[in-house]
Amino acid sequence: MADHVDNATVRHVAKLARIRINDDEVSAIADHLTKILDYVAVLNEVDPSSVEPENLSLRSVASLRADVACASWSSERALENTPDKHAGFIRVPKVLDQGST
Amino acid sequence: MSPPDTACELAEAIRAGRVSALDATRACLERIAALDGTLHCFLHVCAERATARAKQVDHAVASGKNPGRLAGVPVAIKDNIAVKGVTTTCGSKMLSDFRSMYDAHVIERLERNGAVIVGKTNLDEFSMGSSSENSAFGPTHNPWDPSRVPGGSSGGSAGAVAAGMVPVALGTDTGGSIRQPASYCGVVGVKPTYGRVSRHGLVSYGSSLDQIGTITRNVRDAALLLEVIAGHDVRDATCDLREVPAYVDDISGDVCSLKIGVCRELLGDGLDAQVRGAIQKAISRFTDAGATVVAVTLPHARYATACYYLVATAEASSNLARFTGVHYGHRATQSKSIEELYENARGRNLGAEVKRRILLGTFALSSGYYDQFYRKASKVRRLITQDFDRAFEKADVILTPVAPTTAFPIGEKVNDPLSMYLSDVYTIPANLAGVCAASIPCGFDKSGLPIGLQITAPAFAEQTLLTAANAFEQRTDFHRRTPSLDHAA
Repeated sequence: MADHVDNATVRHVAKLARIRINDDEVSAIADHLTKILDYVAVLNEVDPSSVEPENLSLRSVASLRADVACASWSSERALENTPDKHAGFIRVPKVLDQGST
Repeated sequence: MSPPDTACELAEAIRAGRVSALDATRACLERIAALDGTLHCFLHVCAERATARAKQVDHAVASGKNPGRLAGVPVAIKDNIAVKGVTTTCGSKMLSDFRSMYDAHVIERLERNGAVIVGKTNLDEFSMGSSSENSAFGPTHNPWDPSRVPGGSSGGSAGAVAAGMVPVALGTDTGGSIRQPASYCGVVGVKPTYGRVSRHGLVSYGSSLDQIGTITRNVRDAALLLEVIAGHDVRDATCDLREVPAYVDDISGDVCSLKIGVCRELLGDGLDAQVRGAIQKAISRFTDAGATVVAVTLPHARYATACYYLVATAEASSNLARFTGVHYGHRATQSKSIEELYENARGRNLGAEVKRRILLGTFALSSGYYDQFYRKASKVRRLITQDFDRAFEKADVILTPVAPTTAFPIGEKVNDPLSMYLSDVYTIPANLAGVCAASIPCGFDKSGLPIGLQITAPAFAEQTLLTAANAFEQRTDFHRRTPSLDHAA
């Protein structure tokens, strides 16, 4: 497991996570991730092949509520914390080029 | 005469009309005003809201109504739990202006029982940290020694209770974030069983680990607060259907028939000698009271921290994907595309530790690495859970340290995240296994800093946990000691 995380991997992962990182942050993050992966390599001592993965969130499906429609918020209320909005919509930069519409 | 300093006594005095809720709330607000400039436990104090609420409680008492089990009790809330109309910042620049539009389930429960919310407490950004230094709004200081951390991530809540600003507070615990600060601040912290308390209105960090719990000055208050906030809620599908027992009524039992599990491998390397001494003395107190010690073993506990930092960060990378500054939060101006907008908002407004954990989690889930990291960690998690199952066949509760040391100096570990992660080595296993656990005061080191004892009990055995904790508390006076605060006043 003890992979060395290089700068290119950090840039790739940051792209996947949609986080801009500055050039001066990249090597510090690479160094940190390498250290953590070195540390978690201790898991290689364990052979868990006889067991299934554990996820506690999946234990209590019995408590799912009935699928019944109920009252919801107005769009005005739902957008109370929205920084850039117009007429009940959230404004964002153009997603499509004008030429391709 | 100042109001009683525990929730049980205060609520009783207010219901009986001996103390007014308004006086109790004002006393808290005054103490916060006097001390918080030094300690910085609070990110927001809602004085007006609290005063109005206290008057309602007094009015109910005057009209012969029962305002509830927490009548007029001032409560502080960790700032990752939604209180309607009040900011919920999670200690992040991203949410510095975010105002909650609804109450978390636990807030509804508290207020229905007469509690008075006085403010929101400081934390490590999105609960990611063990010292409360990772807050975008500056660190909290430990009331016992302001040059030291209060622990984290619920450091503001633990500090506020320890300093007597409020009798009780809510925190959240994903890998020890209630118990470790409770230990560092000399108060009682309870992490309930996964599924015991609804998380509706809690900002998610690691969804298979997060749990809301209590920080109080004694065990009886923890029992009262837990009884009020626990129980089923349809808005959280992981919240269990089981009835909530009458914790407060039944914590006074003796421990003669109690089997105390002691795990030798957790009392060895890396544990401060003074902490070890205090834990060993605490074990003797239990045997003096008639409990039996049995040896238990948690052979996979040593892998818990590695396991946790893969599972928790993977879940965090998914949970924190929502913070883009589009629907709420800080919008990144001058972005040409939607991708750039996301990247700029997250790059500028998330702190260094949050970015590190999101990137680690994204890496652990990314193509080609999923089996090697996340799936492997989830399987080791199963082995840790099975260790607890076997240990609890022999023992009713397990006693361990909460943390390897007492509170460390502010700044000591900020540049070494891995050493910070290792301060949670004793608390993480309970989150991975979903069992309940508490930190209770069990001594002081030579510098006068508090030491915590961790008691762990099986899932949904909070009654056993609280009874054991109460029995210990009745035989000691560590929980009665308070910091001098000469430095802060």
